Formats: sequence, structure tokens, C-alpha cells
Amino acid sequence: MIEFHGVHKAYGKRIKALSDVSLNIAKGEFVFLVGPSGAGKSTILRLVYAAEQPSEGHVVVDGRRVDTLRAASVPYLRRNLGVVFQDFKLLPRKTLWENVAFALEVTGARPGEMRRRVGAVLELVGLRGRARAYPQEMSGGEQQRACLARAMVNSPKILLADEPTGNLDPETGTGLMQALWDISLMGTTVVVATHAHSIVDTFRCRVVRLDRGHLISDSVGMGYWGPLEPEQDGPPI
Amino acid sequence: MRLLGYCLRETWLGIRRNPFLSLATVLTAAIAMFVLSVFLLGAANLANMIEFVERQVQVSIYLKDDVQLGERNDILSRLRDLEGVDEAAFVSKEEALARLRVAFGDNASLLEGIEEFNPLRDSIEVRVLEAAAVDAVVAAVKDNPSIDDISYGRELVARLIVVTRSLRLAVLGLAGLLGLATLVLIQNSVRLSVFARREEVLIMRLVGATDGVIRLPFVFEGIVLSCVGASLAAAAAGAGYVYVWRFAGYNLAFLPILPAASVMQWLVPAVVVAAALIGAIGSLLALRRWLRE
Repeated sequence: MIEFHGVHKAYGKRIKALSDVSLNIAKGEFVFLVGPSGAGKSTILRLVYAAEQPSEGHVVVDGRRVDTLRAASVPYLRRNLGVVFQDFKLLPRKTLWENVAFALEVTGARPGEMRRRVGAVLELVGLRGRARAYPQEMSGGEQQRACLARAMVNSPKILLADEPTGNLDPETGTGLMQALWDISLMGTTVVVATHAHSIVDTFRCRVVRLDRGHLISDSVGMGYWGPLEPEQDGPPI
Repeated sequence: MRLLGYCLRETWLGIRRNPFLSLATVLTAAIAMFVLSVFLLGAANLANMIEFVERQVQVSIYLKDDVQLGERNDILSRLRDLEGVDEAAFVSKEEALARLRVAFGDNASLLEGIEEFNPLRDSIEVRVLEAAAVDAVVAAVKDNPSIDDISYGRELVARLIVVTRSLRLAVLGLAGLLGLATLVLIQNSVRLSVFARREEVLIMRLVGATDGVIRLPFVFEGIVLSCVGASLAAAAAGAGYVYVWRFAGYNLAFLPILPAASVMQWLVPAVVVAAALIGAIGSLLALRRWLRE
């Protein structure tokens, strides 16, 4: 579903965000991208939704080369992707319902279809009763679930989450991650960029670890620190 | 069609949810278009005055005594066919004398007895639409053997051509500059409105809205606000012009000022259409940055 082939990404001559990253994420897989700030996690996500272009190498999403995609085709790629952000990016002057419906409206969806899908996705994230609330009337957890609802309303094949628990307390964060896990069980590919150790360790799924733009480990079920020896590169005890 | 409905709804919501920015854009457009309207009114009247002065330019072509009727008519029709010629008329020497008598007024008695030895000549008087046409008139007849002499204020006409050309160029240049200034003013105002909604633009891009769908509500908003401002400007400029026109009619009757009704017929649509274009272009320019990122 997502392929990175020898991808480099540099900003100018001095800043290298990614160096020779090759990666394959299959359909329906749940993957954590982990690493410290500046490791290149967000850059990988931005390359997937074509907000950036690789400096070298190529990126394939759902069978399409993203790096050679025409600008006019990018919106159609993004309709197959859902993106969840740490800062939610909800529109303050729209209600929860309008914020979620917005993603369908701009693609020209029929009103009946829109009502059905928005209702279903709000049900899925447990916010059906808050449809008329404005973002500022909602808690952080509710806003993040609203953001998830907006990302899911188009029934995307891929869901990308950039530090989705960064602004949430641990309990709410785990709840949100559980919701993402449930979504992946329905066949959606989910990629989560995070540096929340405890959550990654709880889920025990595939973890791709980055450091200063290099992919340093790719393991399944081995938690945040992956196969590296803790003495060599582990967490402070 | 659904997307158009969405764009129109978003236009209305955009205006309603940002009342102060919308008001600022309307006022900016009104002030800018008022200045443009006043300039256009001045320019139209200046053009009218230039035309009026140029129509005063007359070429008198004096004929030899023995010119036959057929030859005379031939010259007349050739002159009338020339571009830029308004009118060409034959004036007999008897008619010329009668005019002279009128011109002399109370001193017409000085001309008594002159009828028998009328020293004046038959002539053709040519009125042109613009001073620059004089050269063509002269060139068309100067080598004709039936022509005795050609009279026109050569130096005056040459100077008039230079002055009117310069004035026209200056008016065009100023209109272009003023149009550009209006565009920049309105674009800056729309840019503020776009900046206030940049997050919305970014989210629209993320959820897969095409650039066209993102642009349209802003373009409609720019057009609507600019047109409202332009209508206010045209109304104010029009009211002012009616006042000036009436004042000039009573006190400066010699000035050929264009009638208010005929001016308003083109001023209102011209200003509103210009504002719509400027509003649309301003919105597109203001959005460029947010769509590029």
C-alpha cells in the first residue's frame, strides 16, 4: 500500500530530513513510526500525502508514484487518505458535524450520502451526541476524535496520524490509539508517528524506528526500542 | 452543480463570519473605485473637449475661377471619402461675401459696391474629426490644377496634434496606473480575508479539495464585495457629477461638458465590471501563496 524506495529528503544543502529510507507497508497493516523529534517521522507522512516531494528515490502510494504525480492529481490521491494531526486542525467556526461534513462537501458528495456517512463516522468515534458542538466547547480527547472522524469520513484506504496523542492525557491517548487499532482491523492501513513509548509498547505491533533521518530498525511485536540492545541505544533507566 | 451551491454558500458564510474584514474590503473598493470613477469622468470630459477643439480645425481650399461643376463635385466627393473627414462643403464667393457682411456687422457698409468686383474666391470648406486628418486632406488636393490655394493654421494644427496626442497618452497611462493601484488595494484587503481563513484553505487541501473548489468561494467573495463597493462609488461619483454638470450648465455654459445621463449610462456598468474583474484577480493573487505551499 505504501512503498518508499531509497528516499532522501533534504531542505537546502545542510538539512537532511531523510537518508536512503526504503520501506514497505502492506494493506491493512498498523505501523508505528517512532524516534525523537527531528528523526524524520513527519517527513515520511508528508511524503505520503504529497505535501513534500522526495529529493531522491520514489514513493508509491496505493500503486501510484507520488513523486511524479501532477499537481492537479494530488487532491484525488488525498481523497484516499485520512490525516490526523496533533493540533487537531478543526475549524473553530464550524460545528463538529460541519467540520466532518466539510471533507465530503468539498469533493461534491450528495447531501443524503453526506448525512449518512457523517452520522456513521460520528457514531464510530463516539461523538454522535456532540454533533452541534463547536471545537472550543469540546475537550482535547473529543477534538482529537473529531479530527479522526473527519479523516475517516471518506472511508480512506490509508490513515496517517502525526503525534495524535501529543496533546492528550495518557488514558485518552490510549483510548484514541485503540480506536485507530480498531480502524486498522477493518482493513484500513494505519501509520502513526509518535514518540509515546508506553502506547507503542502496549500495542506490540510493527514499529519502524528512525533517527536523524535514518531508518534504524523495523520490527514486529518488540515494542518501542525494537531489536537494538537497550545497553547500546536504549531508554534511560 | 452541488459544488457550485457549496461555493455560493461558503461565499455567503465567508462574508457573514468576517463582517469587519468584509466591510473593510467594501470600503477599500468603494474608495478606490470612487477615485477611478472621478478620474474616468474627468478623462471622458477631457476627451470630449479635445474632440470639440479638433472639430474646430477647418481646411479652406480655394478654387481657381474657371473650375467646372463636374470637377468641383469630383474634388468634393474625393474629400468626403477620406478617413477623418467630418464634412466637406462648397462655399461660393457670393456666399463668402454674405458671411463677411454678417461678420462686419455694423460696419457692413464698408463692403458696399464690392459685389460687382467680388474679390473673394469659390472655396471648399473641410471639417475634420481630428487634427491629424488635416495632412491627408491637404495631400489629397494640393497637386490638383483646379486648386488655387489651401489655408489652415499649419502651425496651430501641428501643435494641436502634439498636445492632444500627449493628453490622450497621459490619460491612458494614468488610467493604467490607477487601475493597478486599485487592484493592489483590493487585493491587499482580500488577502487579509484569505489570511484569516488560511487554516481552512490548508484543511481543504488536505481533505482532497481541488484548487478550483478552494478558489471559487474566495473569488466570488472578492467579486461581490468589490461590486458592492463599486456600486457605492459609482452612486457617489454620479451624484457629484450631476451637481457639477448642473453648476457648469449655468455658470460655464461655454464648456462642452458631457450630459450626466449619457455619462452614467457607461460609468456604472464600466466601474462595476472593472471592480468585478479586479476583485476576482485580487482574490486569485491573494490565494496563490496558500495554494502553492
